[in-house]
Amino acid sequence: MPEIYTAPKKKAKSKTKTSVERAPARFFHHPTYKAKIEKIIRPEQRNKSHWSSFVAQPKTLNFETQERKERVILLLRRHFITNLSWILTTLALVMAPFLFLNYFPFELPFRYRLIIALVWWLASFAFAFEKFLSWLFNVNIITDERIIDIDFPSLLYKDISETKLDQIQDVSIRVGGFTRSLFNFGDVAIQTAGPKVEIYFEAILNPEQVSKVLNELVLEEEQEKLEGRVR
Amino acid sequence: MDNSIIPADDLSSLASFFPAWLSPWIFIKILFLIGLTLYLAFAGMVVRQVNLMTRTLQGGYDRTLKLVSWAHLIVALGIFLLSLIIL
Repeated sequence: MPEIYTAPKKKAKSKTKTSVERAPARFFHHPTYKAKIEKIIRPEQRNKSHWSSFVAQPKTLNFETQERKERVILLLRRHFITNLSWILTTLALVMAPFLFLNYFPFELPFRYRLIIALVWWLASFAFAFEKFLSWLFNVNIITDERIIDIDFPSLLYKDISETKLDQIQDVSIRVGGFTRSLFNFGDVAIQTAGPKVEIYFEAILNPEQVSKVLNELVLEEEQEKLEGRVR
Repeated sequence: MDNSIIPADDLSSLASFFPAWLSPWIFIKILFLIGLTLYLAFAGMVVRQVNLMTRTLQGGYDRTLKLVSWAHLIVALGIFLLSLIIL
């Protein structure tokens, strides 16, 4: 019997996935809003190192509760100048053995003074490392879906708060004081309709820019709801 | 043991309570070792903390931070062994 029709064979989909398989986020499909956000964020602010306190549109940054199609727009940390106090404290701690070990209440053999000095410097390093980790990992993330506040208040304790963009009711900025005005950092307070009434971005760089980005994102969410583009 | 630095009136009165072969410095050494053991536990917790943090936020600095935390633990272990030997 001659073949009348032979359906083309479908190619099997590759089962291997990249570590983060992600379709372009719906926000970045909309050219108007993408252009508006990219106008707010200056070109020199994009693609900065992930160690920075203001990271715009990072390409290789992921977080634990991130959804597959969710794109990070801003990663914010406290301004680096807020670390000055513990940096100076660490320097003082490092110098302390040279100043005080010779004046111990009673004379210690050299081997005991050596061990005390080594442990003191190790503990000083641990203090500085803990403070640095606290600065590096206490972050605020703005994605095209929500805002997330990741906190590590103490050792082995994690606190993640998040709010969807459509639950944001008000965004306000507080910048005050000589240092904050000089280095352009301040607080952004976000009133929400969610379980957590207020999310606070503390001592972040360029708070006005962050506020503009949030307002644009909230407008986009409202527009999407009207147009029925909700996911 | 070298006791020549210690003022005689401080330790000789203490030493008279102990047998000749037992020096009061043994107890000080034991206190040091207990303190260093607690510090080793803290150093282990720092390693766990870094693992927890890098699992929560992956930004390309995971390897460096894990290396630093493990180096801290190894140095703490080294100081513990050093004090075990020289004290």
